[in-house]
Amino acid sequence: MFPTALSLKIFTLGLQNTFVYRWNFLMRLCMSFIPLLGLVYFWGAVYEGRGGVSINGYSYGEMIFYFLLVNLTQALTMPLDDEWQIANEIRDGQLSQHLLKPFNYMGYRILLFVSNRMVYTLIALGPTTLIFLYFHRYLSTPHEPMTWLYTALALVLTATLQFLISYIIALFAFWILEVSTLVFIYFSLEYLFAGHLFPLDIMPRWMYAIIQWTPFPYQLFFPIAVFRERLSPHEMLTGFLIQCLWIGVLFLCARGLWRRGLHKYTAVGG
Amino acid sequence: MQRYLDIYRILLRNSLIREMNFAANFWLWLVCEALWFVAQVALIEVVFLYTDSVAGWDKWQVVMLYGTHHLASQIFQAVCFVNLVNVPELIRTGKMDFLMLQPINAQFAASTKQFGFDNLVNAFLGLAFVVFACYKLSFIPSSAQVVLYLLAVALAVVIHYSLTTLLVTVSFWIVRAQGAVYAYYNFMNLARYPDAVFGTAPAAVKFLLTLVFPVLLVANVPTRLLNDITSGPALWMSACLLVISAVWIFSFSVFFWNLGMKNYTSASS
Amino acid sequence: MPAIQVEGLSKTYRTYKKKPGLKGAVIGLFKREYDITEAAREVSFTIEEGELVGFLGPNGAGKTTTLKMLSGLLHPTRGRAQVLGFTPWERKNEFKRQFALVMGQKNALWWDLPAAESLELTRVIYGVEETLFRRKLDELTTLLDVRDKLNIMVRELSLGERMKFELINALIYSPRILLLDEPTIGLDVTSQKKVREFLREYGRHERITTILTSHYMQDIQELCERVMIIDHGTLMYDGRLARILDQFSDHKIVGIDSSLPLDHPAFVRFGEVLSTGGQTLKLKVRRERIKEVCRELLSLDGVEDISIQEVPVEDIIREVFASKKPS
Repeated sequence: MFPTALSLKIFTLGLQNTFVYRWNFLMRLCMSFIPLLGLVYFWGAVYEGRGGVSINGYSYGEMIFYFLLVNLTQALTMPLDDEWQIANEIRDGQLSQHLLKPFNYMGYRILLFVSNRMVYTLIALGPTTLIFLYFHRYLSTPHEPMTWLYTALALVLTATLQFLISYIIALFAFWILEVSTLVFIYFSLEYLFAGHLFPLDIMPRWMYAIIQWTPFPYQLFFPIAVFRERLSPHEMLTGFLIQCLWIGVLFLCARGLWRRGLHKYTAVGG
Repeated sequence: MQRYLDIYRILLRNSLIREMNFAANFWLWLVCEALWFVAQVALIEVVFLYTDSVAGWDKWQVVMLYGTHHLASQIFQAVCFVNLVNVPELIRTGKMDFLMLQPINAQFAASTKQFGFDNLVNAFLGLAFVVFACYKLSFIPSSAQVVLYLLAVALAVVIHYSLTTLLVTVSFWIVRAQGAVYAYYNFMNLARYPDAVFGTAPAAVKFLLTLVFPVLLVANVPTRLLNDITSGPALWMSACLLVISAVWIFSFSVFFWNLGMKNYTSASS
Repeated sequence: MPAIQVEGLSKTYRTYKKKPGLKGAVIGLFKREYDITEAAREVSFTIEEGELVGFLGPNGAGKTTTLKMLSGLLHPTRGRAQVLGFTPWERKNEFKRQFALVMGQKNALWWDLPAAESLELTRVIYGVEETLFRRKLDELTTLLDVRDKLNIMVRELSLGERMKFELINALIYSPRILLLDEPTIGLDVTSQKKVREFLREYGRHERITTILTSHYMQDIQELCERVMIIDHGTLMYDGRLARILDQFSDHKIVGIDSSLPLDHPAFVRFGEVLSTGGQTLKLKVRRERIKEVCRELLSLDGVEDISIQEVPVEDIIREVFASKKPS
């Protein structure tokens, strides 16, 4: 797609830019542990009410481990400022200068996204390790060595999906002034159906069966479920297929929106 | 005082005009806030599939708690939130100067400029859930309970306001500080849990969350006052705590704001 | 009593010297080094009621610092200031009601509302009585020619119209002190002219004490009889603009249209060649030699036309700075 030298250049540029915001990142990260505090005690009370009986195979410890993995997966795959940056570039007309350069804008954003995630993960490493150590008695690793490989694959696909969704929402800036409402509305759905609030496989079965076909589980829940070996081989294969299908569909959407948006952008003279 | 009321009347009018000019935006924010709330309520639905009570609270009491939290936080957001969130930007661009030159209290001016009507609608949504929960519990609160409930919600709004003010005031010193909004949401995330779930938490955590950052009081105490989950001395004790923490955190936020202003006038370039 | 009285006003900033890299940051935690910047040093002046004074100086010279101290937005490190008998940084409401600040680069009006709504808010904040407000609004909008724009959203107004409403917003409560910071910046020539005319007429009529900073010398030349020049925090000049022009412009500019080569030795004899463009040459000539030079120039073959101009004020100000660098 890009010559290697150019890719490296953009990539390091992204690293440097992101590094400037390391304190903000660190602060945000520490803040994101506050809700965890609530979850720990809330679920503690829930399990106490049940006399410690596990919920659909989740014991209390496994539930806490689930939420720790949610935090980790988010650090690894969730775009942070990317959608705002893209939307701002479109709205303020800074996009023009990128259009003149001989590279593909989406590719450029992907490189920035990846470097962004790397810096964030690096910063998150310290605090996350501490939190994991604190809860060490709830942690466990997969039985099957292959699971590590599947998890890695699921994480890469999750990050891709996350990026595409952010990118598509940001592209609406071609047509509307403020994309923030769209971002938050989508995120509220994601919050519920991607597994931020509870593991999806404890919701009513019929509901889970429907949700499975939406992109939401593949933005967060799926890689965790793979890692925790909660899926049968058949379920896992279906999951990967649906995840790839969504990536394909959204990629085409992104391309189409980009073309139309650009057409409008250049028509009004940016 | 009369002048401040007049000013506020015009601010409301201006916000309404503005809101009507951006009607689509109004609806989108309305939906957005409502969806977040519904997502939270969905958590209750799921959790109570597996248990009958959480730390002694049954399902509809928890719904009442969520509704109360939504009510208080949305009233606060309607009156002040956007304006406070905008304070770091005012400082960065130097527009704070204009506010300080006006012959009215700068904290008032910075907190009240724009009113969010979408949040007001959402506050009613919260209230509707509270009423519905009462119905489900087949419980009719006495008028005394209603009055106390509303007073407690008002104090909760004061606490929301003070906490956010504390967070944004930091930007008087650290201009590049972002994330006050983020911090607010993360703290308030704790507010909708029944306080009893923290029963086993270390005393330091409880102290921090009730007196220093009184997030465990803002929704719990009004709910307790409305629906006698606790009664007798424990209830009055928690009511007292709410009053004390609201007074202290509000005073501290005013003090901190003034400190920030002082820093702004003695150090900025 | 003078409207503004300033004595020995000084402001020093202490800025933390940041060392590069992680090592520097760690060292910085324990041992901080500071830079002392003197943004204003011993600034003293007096402005009488109704005066319109130009305040000049390059960026970072201390203009903004001084203006901020006068408006009460900044505490001085040392010194005294009395504005209408008030100490500005006490920020009393009675003081604020008589004081206005207009900044060309920052807008005080609500972006998403018609100006009329913002003005009404200003009315209530400053406690202006309704009939007086109506009369004033009528007068100002007529003078500035924006009556029909009152109900248009501010974001849809042109830059010039927006600036006019900023002025109206500041003048509607009849302040006695007006600080204008770059009021014509970015405006088109017609709007600039209109704003200038307005400021001259209205300020004089209402006897508003005004301090004006501007990068456009035309603003200063047309509006201010008196100027104060500040550089490196020190007041370098305070007096009539005309005097400074006399003092520093002992030259005039002679423009020559000719068919002669521009490096013709004759020209260099008369004075310093400033610029050449096409057929025109600009010479800087000492005042007392003007007559003689012109006569000789016209007698040269090939010289078609000459013109005599004053040295632009920008150049003079630049010279003031160049000749009086403080030690």
